[in-house]
Parts: sequence; C-alpha cells; structure tokens
Amino acid sequence: MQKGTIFLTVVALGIGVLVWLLPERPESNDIPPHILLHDIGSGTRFYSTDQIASMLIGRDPSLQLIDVRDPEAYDKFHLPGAVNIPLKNILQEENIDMLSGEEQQHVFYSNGTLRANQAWVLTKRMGIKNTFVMQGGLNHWIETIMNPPYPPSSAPSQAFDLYDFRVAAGSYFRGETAAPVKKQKAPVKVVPRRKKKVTVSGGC
Amino acid sequence: MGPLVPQGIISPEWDFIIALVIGIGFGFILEGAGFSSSRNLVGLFYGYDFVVLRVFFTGGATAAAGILLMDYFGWIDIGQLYVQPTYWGAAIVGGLIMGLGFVTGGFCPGTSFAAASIGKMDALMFVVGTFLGAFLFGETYPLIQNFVNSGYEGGIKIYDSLGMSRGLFTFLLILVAVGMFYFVPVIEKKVRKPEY
Amino acid sequence: MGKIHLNSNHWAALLLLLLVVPGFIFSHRPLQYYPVSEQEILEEVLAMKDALTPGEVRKALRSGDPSVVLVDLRTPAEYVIGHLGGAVNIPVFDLLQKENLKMFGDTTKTFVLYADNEVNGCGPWMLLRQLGYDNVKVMLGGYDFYITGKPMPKEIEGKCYDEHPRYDYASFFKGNRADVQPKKTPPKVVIPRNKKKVTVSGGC
Repeated sequence: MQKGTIFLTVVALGIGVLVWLLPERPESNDIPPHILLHDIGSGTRFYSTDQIASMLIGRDPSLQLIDVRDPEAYDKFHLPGAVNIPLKNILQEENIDMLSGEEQQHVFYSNGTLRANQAWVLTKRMGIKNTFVMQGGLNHWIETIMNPPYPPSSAPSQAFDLYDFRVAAGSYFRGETAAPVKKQKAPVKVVPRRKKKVTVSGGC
Repeated sequence: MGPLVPQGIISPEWDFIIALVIGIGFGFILEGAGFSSSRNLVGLFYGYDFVVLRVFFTGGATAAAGILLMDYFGWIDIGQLYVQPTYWGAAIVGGLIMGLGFVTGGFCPGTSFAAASIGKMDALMFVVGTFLGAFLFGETYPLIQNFVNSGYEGGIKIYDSLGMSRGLFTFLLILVAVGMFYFVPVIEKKVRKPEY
Repeated sequence: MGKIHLNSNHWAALLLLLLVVPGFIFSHRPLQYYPVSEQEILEEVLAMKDALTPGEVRKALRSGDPSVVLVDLRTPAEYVIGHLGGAVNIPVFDLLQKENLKMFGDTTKTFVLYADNEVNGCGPWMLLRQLGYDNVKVMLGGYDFYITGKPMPKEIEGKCYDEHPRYDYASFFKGNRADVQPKKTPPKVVIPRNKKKVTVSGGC
C-alpha cells in the first residue's frame, strides 16, 4: 500500500468526521444584522404619498397596498386596492407567503408611518425583498393628496406642478372626475387658471 | 456572501460567461481524466476499469463536504442553492435510456463532446444524436407531457428522505467513496482488460 | 528537495487544508443571526411596553438617575446643534460597532434611544431587541416633539404619537369610493380606437 493513499484516506475521513460533527444551522432566510441596519438607516423603503397616488391613478399592476391597521379601521376607510393584514397577523404563514411574492411591490401603510415601519422591519429581517412603506401614512395622505397646501408664491414652478397634480389626484380619489389627471401633463399655461379657481373657492 | 448570482453579487448577465469558463474547465478535466475514450467509460460496466466511478465519487464527496463547510463558514448559503426537482417517472425511464445508450455507444452527453473535440467520429455522431433527440423531445412534448411531469416530488433531498442530518449523510458518502477506492482495484485485477 | 517529494495527491490535500483552517479561524457567521424570534418581537411591538413618553424621559432626566443613558441616533451635526441632557451620540449606521454593542451589553443600565422622530428611533430599537438587548427602550415622539416642550395630548397619552389618526379619513371621501370604480370605463373608450387602427392597417 502506498503512503500517499493512506494519507489521502486519512484526510478524506477526517474531513468527513468534521462535516458530520458541524452543528447544523436552523433553516431561515434571516438577513445579517448589519444589512438590516443599513436598510433601516437608509430611506430606500419609503414611497411618498405622491408616488403612491400616481401609481394608483395609473393602475400600476405591480403595486399592492397593504393596510396594517385593525379590520375595523380598514372597513371604515382604506385606500383603493389595499388588502388588510393587521400587524398582529403579519407573521401568519399565508401572509408571509403572499408578501414573499416577487412580482409585486408590497407597500405597507397605517395611520402614520410607525406601524407600517414595524411591519417592514419584521418582514425585512425574514429576508422578504419586496416590502416598502408609504411615508407618513394616511395622515400624510390626507394632508398632501386630499387637502394639499397651496405653495407660497415664491415657490419654484415644480411646487406648483406638484400642487396641480395633488389637486387632480384628490378629485380623482374623491370620485369627481378623472379628466384633470391627464391634463396635468399639459404645458404650464394651465397654472394661472387653477389659481383663479382656488381663490374663488377660497372666497366661498 | 454566496451563492454569487442569486445574491446579486454577480449580475445575471454574467451567467453565460461564467458558464463558459466553467465549461472549458470541465471539458479540460474530462479529457485529462481519460473520459474521451469510450473504452475507459464502458470499463465500469464490464468491470475492468473504474476510473469513472473514482472521478465522480471524488467529485461528489469533495463538493458535498466543501459546500457544508463553506455554509458553516458563512461563505455560501445552502438555503439559496437551486435543487433540481424530482420527477420519478421521467427519472426512471430517462435513466434507463441513458444507461442503455451509455453502454452501447460508449459515451454520455458530456463526454461525447469531449471526445468529439479530439476528433472521434463516433462521438460526433453522438453529438448529432443528442441534438436530434432534444429536437424530437420538443416536437413530441404535448404527447408525452403527462408522463414527463409524473411523480413530481419537488426539490426533495436524500438525507431528508432518509431522516438523517446532512452532515451524517456526507460522512457516509465519504466513507462509501473511500471504501470503493480500496475495493474496486480487487475487481479490476480479476477482470482482464480485453486487448483491442 | 530530493527527500521531500510532493505528488499531486499531497498538493490537493494541502490545498484543502489551506481552505479549511482559515475558514475555521475567520468564520464569523453565527448559527443564528437573531436570538429573539420574530413572534416575540411582534408581541413586544404590539404591547409597546418599552416605549417611553417624552414626559417619562423628562422625569428620569430630572431625577438624575445615573442608570438611565440617553442615546442620540441622529447625525453628529444635529447632535452638536442640540441634544437631550447627557445623551451619547451614536449615528444610526454605527449602531452595531463593537464598542457600542459592548456599551449596550451593560445590563445595569437602561438605554433610551431617540431620533428626530419616533419612526427613526423605532427601527434601531427593534434591531437591538432582536439581537437580545432587553435593556433598550425608545422614546415616543422623538427629539422634534420633545423640544417643543408640549405634553402629549390627552387622547394619545401612552400611545404612538405618529399613529394617532388626525383626521376622519372616510369623511374626505364621503362614500364616493364606489364612484372610483366606474372610472374603469375610460380604457374601454381606448379599445375601439385600437380596433379601428387594426382595420385601417388591414386595408393598407
């Protein structure tokens, strides 16, 4: 028997015993803490209410809103197309399965940001990639989309464009008419007309 | 960190380039191990040459132990590796066809390419046959679809089915491999290699 | 050289050992990233026991209790401009550095995290809790609310400031949500146009 053969046999068996004795890692998709911290610290998880509004109006099929409030609050009011997963049920298996789907972006919202953010931290830790948070929640939704503040006259023109968009989106979600949404991309000329309208309504 | 492509460390566009590099290496090793000779390959069947068994057992045992160790070190994540799903019906019939072809023709798909590259005519016909077979499969797929998908079990793993830990299974695999290396020469000595 | 002859077997075994030994020395991946399960964290998050109101923090600061340490998660620049009394500055991305984790490991002390708002404080708090540090608490409202000096409004006392519904959402929509659906009709208008186009091209 060759010396080399015996040596190789010992090495192979040694590695085998080593592998046998290694403690087995429990199966989980948890992401490392430093990656989770990086995601928590950076704001890449946030969608603004304006982005969500324009996605809803455009009927973006990749958007799936998720209402993490209680069922009672959800029944009273929820954004169009949102499904209800109360925060306390978020770890249930069927919900995790649904959130793990990679073809849609799952955007959490609640009254504010906090609860949605907590849902996001939990799902992110579990290695679920496509979850996001609507920044400001429904409070901010009302303040920006349904009841936008009129920009000061010194504001840049983008602020007025944004205001126009918000007014149009607000009327869309109120169910008045969808037409202004498409006019929103029209040239800046539209702006003075809008201004008049607003002052008139203020006079009333 | 790994696996590199599913984790996004290497973008999927690089898949083909990496496949090319690994393929060149694989062909090099096949040729170097003598797998381009059909006499070496069918020796496993007649019992005069077990080089195929040695190479594949070494490869399998090394890869299994290496992946487990790397998972432990945190260099690779076993949970993210792709596991080829099991179809019992197709696996059994496919295995029979492949084994029959292997022992009559003297090549398996990979080695036929290695042998064709050094200019063996029979291997070249093998390659042509491979493409014809793939074409026929594609054309007749609607007819045999039910059979191809029969006995679906998902990505099952042998150590789960046997109810043992993967570490123990790998140890047994290495043990069997080492046992083979000592036992196989005994058969080789008894069976005389035919002279051509 | 004549005495020690290394064949290819030896090289292969050596290479393997060179991989395995450094692996064991430099292996840093723990068996589990998080000692606390998602379910436990979810229950804590729902109970909000570790959330202190600004009033409680103020009281603790006045009492001069040395076991309470405030941790400022904002950037160093914000910290220099103004921070709560005795607060330590740990910018959020430095949270998991060794010396900071060592500090949180001191079980005789209670650490109260705060950021500019409670959302930015909650994520790091959840991360530390998941890593098993149970002497870490978070301040509700955040720095921005604290420095206003206002007490928490009565109706949200002890709850999340951010999550309080500031509006009656449904009133902004007045049951018009049903009207949103008929707006699925505009796409129908588009379809005949397409049909016409097809027939025209067929005529060509």
